[in-house]
Amino acid sequence: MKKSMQRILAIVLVAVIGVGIGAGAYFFLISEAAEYKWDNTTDDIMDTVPGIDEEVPQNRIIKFGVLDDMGYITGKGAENGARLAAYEINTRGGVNIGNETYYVGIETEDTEEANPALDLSRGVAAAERMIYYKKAQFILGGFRTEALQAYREIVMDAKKIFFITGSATAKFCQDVYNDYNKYKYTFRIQPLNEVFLAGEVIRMLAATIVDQKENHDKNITKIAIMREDLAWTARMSGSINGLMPFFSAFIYGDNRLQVVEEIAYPQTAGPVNFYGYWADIKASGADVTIPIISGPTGLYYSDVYGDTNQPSLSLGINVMGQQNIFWEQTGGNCEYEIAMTSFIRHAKTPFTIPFWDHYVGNFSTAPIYTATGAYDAVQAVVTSIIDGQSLATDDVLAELEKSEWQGIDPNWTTPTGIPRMPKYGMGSPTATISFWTDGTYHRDVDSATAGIQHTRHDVVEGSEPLGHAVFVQWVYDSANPTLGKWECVPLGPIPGISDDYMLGTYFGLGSWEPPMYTDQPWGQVITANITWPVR
Amino acid sequence: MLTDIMQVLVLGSVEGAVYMLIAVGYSLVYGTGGIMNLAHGAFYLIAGYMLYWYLGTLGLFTSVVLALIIVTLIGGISYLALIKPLEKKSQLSVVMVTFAIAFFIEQIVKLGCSILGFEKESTLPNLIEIKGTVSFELFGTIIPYDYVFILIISFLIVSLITLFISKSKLGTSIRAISQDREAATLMGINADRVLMFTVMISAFLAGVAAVIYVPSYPIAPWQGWVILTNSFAVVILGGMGSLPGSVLGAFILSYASHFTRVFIDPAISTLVPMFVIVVMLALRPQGILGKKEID
Repeated sequence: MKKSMQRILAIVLVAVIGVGIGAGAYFFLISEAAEYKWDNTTDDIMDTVPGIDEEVPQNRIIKFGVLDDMGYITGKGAENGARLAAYEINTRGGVNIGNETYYVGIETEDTEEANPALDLSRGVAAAERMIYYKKAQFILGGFRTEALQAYREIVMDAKKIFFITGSATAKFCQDVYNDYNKYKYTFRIQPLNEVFLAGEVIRMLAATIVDQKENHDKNITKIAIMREDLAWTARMSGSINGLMPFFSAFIYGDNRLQVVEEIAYPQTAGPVNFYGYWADIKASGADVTIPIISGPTGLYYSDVYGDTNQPSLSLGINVMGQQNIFWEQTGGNCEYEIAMTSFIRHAKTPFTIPFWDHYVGNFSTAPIYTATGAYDAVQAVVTSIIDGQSLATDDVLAELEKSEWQGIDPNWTTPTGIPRMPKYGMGSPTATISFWTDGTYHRDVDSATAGIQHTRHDVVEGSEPLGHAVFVQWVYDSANPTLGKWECVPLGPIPGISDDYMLGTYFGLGSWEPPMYTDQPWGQVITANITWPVR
Repeated sequence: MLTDIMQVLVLGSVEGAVYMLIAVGYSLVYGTGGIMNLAHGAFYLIAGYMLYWYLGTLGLFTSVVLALIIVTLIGGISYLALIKPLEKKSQLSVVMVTFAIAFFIEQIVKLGCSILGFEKESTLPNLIEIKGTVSFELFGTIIPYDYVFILIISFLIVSLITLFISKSKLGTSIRAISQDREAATLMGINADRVLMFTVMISAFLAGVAAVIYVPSYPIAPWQGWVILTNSFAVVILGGMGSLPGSVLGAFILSYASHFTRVFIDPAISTLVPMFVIVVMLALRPQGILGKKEID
């Protein structure tokens, strides 16, 4: 028995070695097969060179590689956004460099970073394959800090421009400032970093508190936080906790506004765990619960939220809640939940609605933040290639870093009149393509620090309507009871509260204008009053 | 295509060199005392975090020295306090206690990050930067200076350890115990003391691997388990107790893993170490060059 087992295993081993040698010979000896080919045959948006119905010579493809969890909405969003940008660029005639026409190609590699049992080597392996075998010239994607941290090293070592499209961790762009020589190829295009995201959540919270106090005679004093136990959520929570006394002092004149419950749960948490978490929050008497969730557990969060008839208002970041099918996914349990998103179908910029419609038309789903991030990233790189007339990484980098913004509409300036919108931003659906070039956390370019060569390559949380999140509430829709609907809830201004003082002082951000949707140059957002949970 | 292969060879060589350091230590302890040390990955972990925690305040040199001293001491204390008392009772107890040490160190690392205010996962700045650049190009292959440093240090340390084992008095004792512990004890060699030094050397090697590799590869609290699994695969492949086998195994496994991930499929590459463990244990448990005693 033992001998026959050994024989079987020996045959298996010989077979594996044989296949290995065969595969090796196939890859390394047959030159045709040796090079990875960016094959393209149709003009399908899902083909390698979207919008082109014929094979494109390999040296005429501008190769973009998407690294993300392709089995999760962040990865699919990044891929779709990149494909849409490629499709639009290619069908407009491609990119002219010198007298040659190039087309944009998209390839993906799965990093499996949404996996609760994260394996860092999986993302590293994906990055190595994308760069060294598929020969991607530009990289985009990534959303989970821990994974991204590992595979970004591979991308930086290979000196490839890398647009982060899904991680809020400030450190990625802080690294650009601290260790420019190594990390200068890193850019973040979505989302806002965690410090600013915390600010956005706090502003929404403040608007809610004031609204309830003044219009409904309801005093909100108890806040709960439920978050994934991850580095970025810990830092965001720290910012929110730190700001709480300021808010309390301004709104109530004392310290009654407090975080009464904070739950940091593991990535492996299942629905059963969420019944426990929500029971704790209910017992704490929280008026508002702030979720800080980017992963798939956001579905459990919302599902159990409704299932247990939570009396608190859910208000914060739940990436799953950015999908237009979320009502359906949760069976309506997400009702009353207010989720932060980059934009909805409104005229945030002249390009928002066309982008939205084109995206939905092609992919039959609403774009989440990684989708617009990837879309913007491809557009930004291609614009830089055209301007610099070069595909070389350092030439593209130089163009991306240029601070002489061109074609800026007078409206697109800071309150002090200093333009901060790069040329690419005008084409951005979210208008968040602004990169710090002054090397400080100040929003306005400071003459004292202007000229510093170092930069953070990060997006700016800017004055309205640039670089601001949108908050949407899931509400019942009698016309569409199985799908529900979003209503954009107003974010400000906040009567009687000086944002400058609260956020400006706390973060040393300087002065800025609070967002006012009604003031937008390209249209109005449909706003609605906050609907408080009726439980 | 040649550039791609070169690039993969560079990546494989660097990881191979790191695993060589780790696996040599692992193999040394097994070959000498028959100890299956599941805390070996945790030694890497604690040294990496020591460097991470101290780098900002103490500077590179002091942090490295301190990290290596601490991890070496932890190795010695682990042996004296936990492994030695159980060693004579049963091998299973030793395995279980080293498993517990690994978990304990992982939790210590997490706790340490919380108390000291550090992120649990992080990257460190490159060790070497020359004229504002962190890498150079050789025939189209990008090679970070740190990689060259890792290769030099790894081979230097492994050579010194080999020399130490073959020439020094302690090395002779290690070899004697690995051949016949009872006879060596009858000849007056203090086996417990020698084993303690062996575990300390092993921890030191894991520590060296950490301090040279962490600037190139981020650290995370759970990384100890990945290091353990991969180094286990390396010694199974090369042969438990065989130092040349560990060197050979480290590079074979690393090249196989990198070639698979780049040219075939990243998902398959993560299976390579598991595949090696299963097949080698079933077909040739002693590994390619394996023998019980240290060579």
